[in-house]
Amino acid sequence: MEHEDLLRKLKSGDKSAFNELVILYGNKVLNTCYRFLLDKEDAEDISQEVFIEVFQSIKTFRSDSKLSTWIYRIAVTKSLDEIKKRNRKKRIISLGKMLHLDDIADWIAGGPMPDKPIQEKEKMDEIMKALNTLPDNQRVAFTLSKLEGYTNAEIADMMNNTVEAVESLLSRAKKKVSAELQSILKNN
Amino acid sequence: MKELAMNDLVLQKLKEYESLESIKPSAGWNESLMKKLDSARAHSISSHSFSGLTIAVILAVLINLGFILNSIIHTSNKSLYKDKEFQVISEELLINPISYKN
Repeated sequence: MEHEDLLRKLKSGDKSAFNELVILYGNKVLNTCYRFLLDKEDAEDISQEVFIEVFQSIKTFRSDSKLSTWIYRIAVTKSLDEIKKRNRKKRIISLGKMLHLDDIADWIAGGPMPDKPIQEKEKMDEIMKALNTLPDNQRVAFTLSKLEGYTNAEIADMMNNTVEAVESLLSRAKKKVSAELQSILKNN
Repeated sequence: MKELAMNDLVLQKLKEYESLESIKPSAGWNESLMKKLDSARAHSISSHSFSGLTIAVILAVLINLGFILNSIIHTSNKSLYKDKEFQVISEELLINPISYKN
């Protein structure tokens, strides 16, 4: 299916066009979310949310950028939102523990943190902590650059930035992540 | 020496992250996505019909308000006209409102 034809069908709400879209971009969206969240289950949930958002907003897509870029941008935004939600939950729970209000803190945070089996998220705990210290734009550039298939030009397009700016963000992010990792590993 | 070992550890951690393998969606992922899309579609259709209904109700209320205002204006005009008519008749019949009251 041609890109414009696919877009037209998507805008008219054609179900088969959405199936085609999921086949085309599902894997890439899933892996983009996974790189940010380092948890397969969460990445699957968020990537589904991405496609629902695409479905709900496709009529407002004005073809200023490529369809794929627009979809990946939604994936990045949703992943960052999820990370912020997680961090907020952690803060509330730790505050609750400090005040010996574990149950109330769980309730305020929207349920207890799920006890998932040890997986990538735990194995990558240190790098996750180091990435959490980066500003959003550095984190996005760093994470996407580590994901196979994204060129600096594509990252720049996704971030509405120039390639030079992305290169500079990447170099600053690499330095900061290395320094943070060092301090985290020293303290462990 | 310690610094070198630490640098190696940092590099190793970064490499682990870089060499993170791609994942494949679970078996039910596509099916559950399609279900969610269907429910989103149904929700958007129902919200469309709901907004249509809302507009219709608002229009009906506005039309009713228009009728009510129109009838109030006309009634007050009529009553003014009637008041004048009564005044003229009472003057012709030389009825004094005060004497009438008494």
